[in-house]
Amino acid sequence: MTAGLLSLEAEPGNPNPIDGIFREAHTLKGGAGLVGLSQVSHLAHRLEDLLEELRVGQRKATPALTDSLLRVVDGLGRLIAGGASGVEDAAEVAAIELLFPSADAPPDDSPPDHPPTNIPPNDPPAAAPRPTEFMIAPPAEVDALETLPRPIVLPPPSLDRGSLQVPIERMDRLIRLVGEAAAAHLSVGHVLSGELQRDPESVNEYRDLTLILNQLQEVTMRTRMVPVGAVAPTLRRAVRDVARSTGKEVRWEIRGEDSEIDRGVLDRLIDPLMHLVRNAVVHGVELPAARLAAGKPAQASVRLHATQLGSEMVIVVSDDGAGIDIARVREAAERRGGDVSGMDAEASLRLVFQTGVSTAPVLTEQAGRGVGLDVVEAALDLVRGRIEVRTELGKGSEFRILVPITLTIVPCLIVSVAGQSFAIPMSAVIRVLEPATVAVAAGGRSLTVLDDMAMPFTGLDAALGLTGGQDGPCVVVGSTANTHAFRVDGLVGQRDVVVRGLGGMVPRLDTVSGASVEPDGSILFVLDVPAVIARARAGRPAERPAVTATLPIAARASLLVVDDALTVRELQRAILERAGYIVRTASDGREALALLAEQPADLVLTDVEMPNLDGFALTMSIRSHPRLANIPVLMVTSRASEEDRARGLEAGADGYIVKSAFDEGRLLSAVSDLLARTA
Amino acid sequence: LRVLVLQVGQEFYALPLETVQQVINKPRITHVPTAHAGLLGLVNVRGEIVPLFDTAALTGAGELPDPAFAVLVTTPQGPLALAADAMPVADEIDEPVAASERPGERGVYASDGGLVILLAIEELLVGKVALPRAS
Repeated sequence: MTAGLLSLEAEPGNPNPIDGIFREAHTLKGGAGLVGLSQVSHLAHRLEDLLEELRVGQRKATPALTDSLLRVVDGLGRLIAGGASGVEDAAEVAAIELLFPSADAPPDDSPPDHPPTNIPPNDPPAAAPRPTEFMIAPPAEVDALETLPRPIVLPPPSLDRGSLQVPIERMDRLIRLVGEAAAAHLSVGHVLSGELQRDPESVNEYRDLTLILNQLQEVTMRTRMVPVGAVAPTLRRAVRDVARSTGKEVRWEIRGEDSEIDRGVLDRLIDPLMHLVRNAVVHGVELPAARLAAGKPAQASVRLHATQLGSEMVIVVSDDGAGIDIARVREAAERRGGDVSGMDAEASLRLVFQTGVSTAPVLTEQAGRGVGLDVVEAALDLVRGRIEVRTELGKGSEFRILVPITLTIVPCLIVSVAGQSFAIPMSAVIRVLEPATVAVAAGGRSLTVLDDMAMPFTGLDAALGLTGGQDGPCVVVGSTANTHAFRVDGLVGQRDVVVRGLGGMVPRLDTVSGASVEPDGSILFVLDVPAVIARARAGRPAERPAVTATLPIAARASLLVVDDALTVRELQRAILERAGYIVRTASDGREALALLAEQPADLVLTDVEMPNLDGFALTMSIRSHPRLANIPVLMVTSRASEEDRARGLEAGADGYIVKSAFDEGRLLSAVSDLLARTA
Repeated sequence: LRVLVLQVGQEFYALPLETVQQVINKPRITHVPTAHAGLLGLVNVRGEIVPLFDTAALTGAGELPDPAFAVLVTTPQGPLALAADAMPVADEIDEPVAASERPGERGVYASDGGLVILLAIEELLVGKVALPRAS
């Protein structure tokens, strides 16, 4: 109903939203009556009458009326949620009654279509709806119940869409059972090869079973996925309400709402996204008069853009407001005793994620307490997500959230330490150094040097409280602000790890974020990288001196990233800069050629489909230019066909990565391979 | 009360039989880095990851680092396993012969010519091992 009311407000002349809300109100009236929520039924009836007046033109849809109706819908949501106890809150009912406009309102005693006369109002309902969480497969648009308290409640299913409501617990059990079936299947393979001396893959029935189980696993995993758009009505409502109360005019835009993400991840994203959209309206967007004075349209835009990139979802919340005044952020941090000297603009901007740092001049109900963005970052940590911010004074701000689309399947680097294997999420891996290039002890702390930057270095065995680790490669992990190098015994490989929930009786484990059951029945731990770093820094130095050689610091390679999609471009830039490269960006082939003419690059990463000059044409131009001809070109594209790949290579590209199969590790290894080849 | 009797070092402990799911012979333990001493590690029970606790460490009866058996117990928060030295046996206990004052213990009972201490698992874990959701 909320979505319908917001659509009605946006398009007052369109009768469709009224019809939709009317149907919902009517269904609610009947359903509430059936389960004994007589007051809900009565209020839904009043809502129907009011909608009828709107439909026939007796009443006009005004923002004030929408305000009242949204509050009525909120109140109904609370009454329904509380109705499980069998008691309808009389004060809430009275408060909702008052929200209905008095003039022209139908008399209060008008009877509902199906009066619940057979159920006295004070009797406990026979079958009140339980506030159980449900998932719907396939998920449809949210319109009916999104005003209920979190977590998100998807709309009731309609049989004609072929949907079915299934309790989440049953779905999780199904996923677990499929996992067990896969483990049992692998055990059968062991029996075949071990006791019966048969290669399992030579047995047709075994191969068929493998295929079916793989498909089953994928399909069951997908049942946990919901579209990002499931949270859109809640966000849209927040934008609308905050804009109304602050006197701002804001248009809400959303793109990529069909992109699917694990429901557990999306649940955890609701709070961070709410913070960001509210902040965008309160802090980002200016009042209409100020916008007009600045030569902008009076109505501002707050946008949410979601897009899947490999195993990650990128969700961008942006506004075309005033931007963040970095000088004020620095002042706010200084007032709280922070030392901002020596911080560049980017580091200063990240101060907004610190507790207590707010640039809001006044404390309001919506924002300004200096809490929020730090909470956003903490909430994202729980889903292995991260956030980046960009801003331009006078033009607006952009907050970019990157999260894995599922926490169930995590691409990991598997390492061995002191005779045990551990999985490190690839999202935290920055790069791997050869054993011989690991460096230096300084001031009692072990450090290594990577691309001009010194970073702390510890044996992973020591950080995990194990003994018996050996000298092996060094894995650099962390985020831009917090990197750490860990020596491991060896690298076992890189693969997707199916992470199981640890049971309720497993104690809190300091350094472990999850675990997986391996084909041979053993348990593989997925490390909680920030916790391992914190532990390593809490004064547990490597037990052996780590000095082996001094790293020759290579000149930093300069890369050019070409993509017309801002999100993709910036994501690649962030990954590559974090890995230590110097990165320039261009939005199409023509701009790329202009930048290369100014200064050549060591490598070009380009999209294929772009306006003005596409990736094929750009590659051919580079190859035909005497000064640029030797620059390696890596195509990063959503095109996956063999024909496109052949065409790219024919044009002169040196490598080809498909975006859907793209992850941080693969991109970095392709870049470093190509640079090494041409060095 | 029908119970399962576990031998742990020189001590015998009883668990209500209705809470016991199964006895695992030679459990394959994956040790957890940085774990509390009471937690021996995790075991894989038909694809489910279950914590295995050192019964001796929990009751203060020493240590049992490499148990021959593990008893899988159901609790409202999920399954857990307790370490045991020898194959546990089922028995029936009647009235307590003595009270037990330590937390997590529900009294001393006569069983098969000896004495056993009846355990209350969740209470035994309180304060010794930080659980994600303490009951």
